[in-house]
Amino acid sequence: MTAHRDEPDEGEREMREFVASLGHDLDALRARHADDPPIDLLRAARAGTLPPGLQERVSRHLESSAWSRALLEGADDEAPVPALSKNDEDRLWRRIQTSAAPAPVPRISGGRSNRRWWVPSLAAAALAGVVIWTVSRDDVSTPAVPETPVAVAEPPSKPALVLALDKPDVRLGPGALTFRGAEVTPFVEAVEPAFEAYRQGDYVTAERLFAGLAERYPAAGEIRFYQGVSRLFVDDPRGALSAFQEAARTADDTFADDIAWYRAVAEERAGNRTDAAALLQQLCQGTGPRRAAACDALPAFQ
Amino acid sequence: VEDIEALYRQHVRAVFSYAYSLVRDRQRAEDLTQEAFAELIAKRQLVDASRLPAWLLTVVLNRVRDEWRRARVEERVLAHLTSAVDTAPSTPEALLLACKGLKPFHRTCLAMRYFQGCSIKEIAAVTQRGELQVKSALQYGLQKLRACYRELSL
Repeated sequence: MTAHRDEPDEGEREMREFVASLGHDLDALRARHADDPPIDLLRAARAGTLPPGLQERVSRHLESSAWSRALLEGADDEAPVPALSKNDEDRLWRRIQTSAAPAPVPRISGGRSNRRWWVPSLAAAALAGVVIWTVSRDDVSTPAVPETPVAVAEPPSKPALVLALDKPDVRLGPGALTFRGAEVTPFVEAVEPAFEAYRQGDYVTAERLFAGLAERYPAAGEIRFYQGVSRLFVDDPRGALSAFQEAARTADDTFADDIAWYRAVAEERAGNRTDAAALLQQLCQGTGPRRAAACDALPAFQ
Repeated sequence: VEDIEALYRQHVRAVFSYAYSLVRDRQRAEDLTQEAFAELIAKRQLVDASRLPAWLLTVVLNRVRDEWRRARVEERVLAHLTSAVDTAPSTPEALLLACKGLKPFHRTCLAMRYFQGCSIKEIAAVTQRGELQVKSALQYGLQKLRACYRELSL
């Protein structure tokens, strides 16, 4: 419990006397709620942004604890949502331009084709880090970015992608149909809208539905797998990698090759060619259905 | 994606509002908005403009999820997470929850200040209000709570 750090005025003293009069009731209350999740965690659970296991537990706590619900309700009750003024928009746009702009690349004899594609990416990332750090330290009235607008960056000159993004057909693992026993039908019904959106190519909706299902069925690796594929189709390879990591942990062996393959696709798109190559190497040395494709692609990464 | 700035002007408010609804922190919401549009610039040749702003919102949501995943709070929280609280009518929780005229914001301010020991600055940060607003809510809440307590005692 942190100590009160503000100087008490008359109202404060009155309140403290009142609170002190609650005596043992108050001590009991503090003991009961000592381990309650903090408000930011409750808020994240309500928004559905926590990792699966934690999301489930905090959501359950929130459902069953009127006290935590009341605290959260009060924290956000009628809270004004800040608006972006035209100046805010302009300032943010300059930040975006700065963070996306490639840093100057030292001239290398041999022309553009000899440039390492990751140099501007790293420099831009470092610059973005400095800008974010500076803005967070400085008062808002002190612009941390140049006043002169910077031209929108051209995409970094990355090498062409080697691994094509093909859409895997929808299937459920045999393990999933076995371990859920009597719940097979509800499970299949629950996942159908997500798979339908996926089949239709509406990957934004599919991703959102898969995210909800992942919380409800944390052990269903196929949900994480198709969530990862959906994220790839909305060009979010880093998000896809997180999903595939969970899929690799929970899916049955029949998905292992596909997970490794699509992880390689995601690693390449995230700029991690070495990691992509390692996954392809592993697939190429195996006997699974992706072996031939992995062996064919491997030379392009070496 | 042909004109990034036009798309930015068209969608920035929606993206910022969505980011703010997830994190309730202006600075973080701006950072998330920046990241989403920076990602759009990087992927401009791959993104179909008809999928905006949904594509941008998905990037924001995934970033927030990644932040929580990286924070690795599971180990710290899960071991201590309490289950349902069975509130008896005579406890201070019940008094706070049932006190008529006490607005949810006042209740949260009182609970954070006097039951959790938070400073006014901390309450202002969590609730995204000014410190004067918090002080005012505490004073108003005190009056209401005392009235409820007297009523309960009689």
